[in-house]
Amino acid sequence: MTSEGTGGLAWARWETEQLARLPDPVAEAVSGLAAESRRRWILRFRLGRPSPAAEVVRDWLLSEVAGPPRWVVPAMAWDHVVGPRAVLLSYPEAVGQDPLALAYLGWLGAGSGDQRQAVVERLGPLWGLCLYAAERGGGVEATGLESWLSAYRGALWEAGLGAVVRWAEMRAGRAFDFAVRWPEVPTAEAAALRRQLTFGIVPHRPGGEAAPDPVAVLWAWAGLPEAEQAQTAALCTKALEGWHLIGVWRRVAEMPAEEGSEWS
Amino acid sequence: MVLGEAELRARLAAPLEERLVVTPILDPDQIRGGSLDVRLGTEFIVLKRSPRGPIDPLQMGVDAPDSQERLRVAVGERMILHPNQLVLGAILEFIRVPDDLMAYVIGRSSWGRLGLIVATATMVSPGFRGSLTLELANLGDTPVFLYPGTRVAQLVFHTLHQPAPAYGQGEAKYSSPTGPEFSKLAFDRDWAVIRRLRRDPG
Repeated sequence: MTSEGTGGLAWARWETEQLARLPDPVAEAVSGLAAESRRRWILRFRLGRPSPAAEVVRDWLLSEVAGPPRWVVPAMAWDHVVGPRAVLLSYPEAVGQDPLALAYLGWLGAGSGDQRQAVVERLGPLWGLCLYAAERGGGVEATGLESWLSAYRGALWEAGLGAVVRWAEMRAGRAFDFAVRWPEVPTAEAAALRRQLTFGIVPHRPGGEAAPDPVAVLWAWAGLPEAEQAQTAALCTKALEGWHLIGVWRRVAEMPAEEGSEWS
Repeated sequence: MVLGEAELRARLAAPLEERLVVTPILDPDQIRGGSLDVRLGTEFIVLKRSPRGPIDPLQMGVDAPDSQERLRVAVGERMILHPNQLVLGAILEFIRVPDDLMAYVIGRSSWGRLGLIVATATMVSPGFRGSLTLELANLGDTPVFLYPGTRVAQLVFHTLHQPAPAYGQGEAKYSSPTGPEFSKLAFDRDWAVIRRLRRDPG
């Protein structure tokens, strides 16, 4: 047998063994890819586990978006694959603790226009900040920056985010193929939450309730100096996790017993 | 003096500097009588048998990657704790104890009767901020499933006669962790003395 033939057999055997170790929906999505892409995704799932922040952000942005479950894995780049029973999403491992950059998973995982519109409207003032943070990982599809800037330019300057305004003005990008109803900036809420972050605690409401809105938490966090952002990223992620858990917990707890027996 | 239910609720809503922070509270029923129930969090450090040798506190760094593996188990999923296995977990809640309070952690006897011991450091200092690390050990003969989100321990808060210097300032070792942390025994200043004694026993 030639060395090329031996190599081909070795690759095939390796792939078969690795695919058998992956969850069925993931293996199914990976199997249909071209060889190079298939091997890349196998390695990603073999070697990496998503950061808690990546899972929390995915749950926040994509748990109510229609379609198959989204599987997230660290890699060297943003990437996605749509399979029959799974959507596979990868993010640059270096941004695994940055909830704003990770919000780009919402855009990648949403798929169609309607779903992407919902994700963009949910992010609102965070949309351009998310692209700005995510672009450090390369390969970001910068979309809708002009529309976003026209809605939030003043608020961005007021929040000390002039660097992002200048970046967005320079960054050419195509327009959305849908109309966006940009929500208001949660300025007052964010001010109180930013004070909690600088106090070194998880943003919350008095009484132990979770912060009212992840957008307010992330807007508060985005307004901190970069060094403080690094120190408080975990507090921010914990606030998002709390917000998501309280919503799901109470929804399931209020279901009739037979429906409430399963977590969704 | 132990804080009762009404005082606990009042301190949870106090102005920020005096506030007792416990978040998220998934169910208001977590505060009852003189205690506050805390839940099992979603992040774990699984301690494994290492082929490379024992843990030597004298040589230990902040992490011991050879003998530990980080794991996340979402609420709604579960993990197995085998007999004689030790796993580090954390409470789901982030807490901040004001300078005039301290707390004791008490494992729930319902879990203890299944063999699960929540052998955490039982005192929470004034000024502590973070999610408490729990040392979960199965002392029974049967594997036990751990379900993140379940109530695993209680906090009982006490007032101090004089507010203490805040934990998290100066020489404090643990600063706002939001998940379990491996032992930081290596930071103890006594090791410098122990090292010298080992080199020069006389």
